[in-house]
Amino acid sequence: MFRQASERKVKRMSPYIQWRRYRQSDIYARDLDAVVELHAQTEESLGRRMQLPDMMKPPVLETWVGERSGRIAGAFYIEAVCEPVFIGRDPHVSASARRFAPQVFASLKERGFRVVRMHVPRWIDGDAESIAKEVLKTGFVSTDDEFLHFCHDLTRPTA
Amino acid sequence: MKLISNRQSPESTQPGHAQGDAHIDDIVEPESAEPTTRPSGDQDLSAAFMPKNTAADSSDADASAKGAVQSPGETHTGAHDGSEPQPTEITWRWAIEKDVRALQLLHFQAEIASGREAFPANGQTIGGVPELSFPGVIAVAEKNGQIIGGMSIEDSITATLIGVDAEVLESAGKVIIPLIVEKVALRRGIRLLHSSLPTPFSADLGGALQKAGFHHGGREAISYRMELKEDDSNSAKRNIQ
Repeated sequence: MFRQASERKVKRMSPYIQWRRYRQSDIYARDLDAVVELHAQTEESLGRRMQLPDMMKPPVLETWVGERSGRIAGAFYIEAVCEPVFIGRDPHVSASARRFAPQVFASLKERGFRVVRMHVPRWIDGDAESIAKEVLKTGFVSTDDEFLHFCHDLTRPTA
Repeated sequence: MKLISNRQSPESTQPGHAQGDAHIDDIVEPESAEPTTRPSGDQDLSAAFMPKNTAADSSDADASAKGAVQSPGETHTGAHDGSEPQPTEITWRWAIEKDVRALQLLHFQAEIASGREAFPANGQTIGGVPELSFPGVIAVAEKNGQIIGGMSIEDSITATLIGVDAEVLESAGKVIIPLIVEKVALRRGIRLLHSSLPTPFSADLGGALQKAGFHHGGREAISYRMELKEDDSNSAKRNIQ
């Protein structure tokens, strides 16, 4: 199934993609229809459901559509997320933090966030495993099996 | 400027959105958001959130933690209620500005223990921590009156492609990503843009992301995600029904 999507992708129909803001209203139903169709194609390629948030509401910040020869060929959105970061590496502290985690998450939800991300560095060795256990108990799920994570560090000097 | 800050009012901390034809500049928050929602620094989070007779978990990790955290069922004797803290007790409270120095020291000690600098000199990102400052630091953990840990919240942005066309993603990398960086991220003091590709797509789409300035974190960190809201998948579709 994925192969079909891949083959479809490599067809170079036009080198030029024109970007504009995504619009959604009765008179701009075309954008939504196209995005829903693209999303359905992605789900079909993956063989699983994927999230498609409301692209006109926070925490989605901006959405664009890319047109090729007047037809929407893809869309791109950015979403605000937050990441709790533990200071120090004592797993006991992580364990105790679970007591007040719901309070923090309720606050973040109230502020409009949909997703919280967390990264536990492996380079802290043995403590990573203990901390990871606590993270899972708090309600996080590991995404490493299903996704490859990329990061653009804006503090990093560009080559 | 932070996308969200615990020191801002709920109205001003809703992640902004540019609707319809709004210019991207429109979503930048005003500089003068007033601190209104952070509880006072001496509020004990453990006390506020831990019922005295909550049933205890009994897993291994809990067992290891039980020596450190207050056991459910015990009378809370936190360091902030005027009584003597129990020797093994960890209490949490909201951070105040003067906690930052102790947390920086703690972080430095953790770096020494790890034998590596977490941020920012080595450019390592995933799993690294932001520079510690207030109000990014939200809570501190104390034991016997000493700060032994803390938590900060970092705002970041995830970028998502809808569709599977690598050419579209490459184009977004040239046109849209620089716009996000300049008009959204840098203006809000955000240091990280994330993008997660479903594993089956990584071979075809990963290259386009890397051209756009993203790098693959490899196995440096274990990544986790939590949904704060009910499953709103396809909520865009529901919105027009």
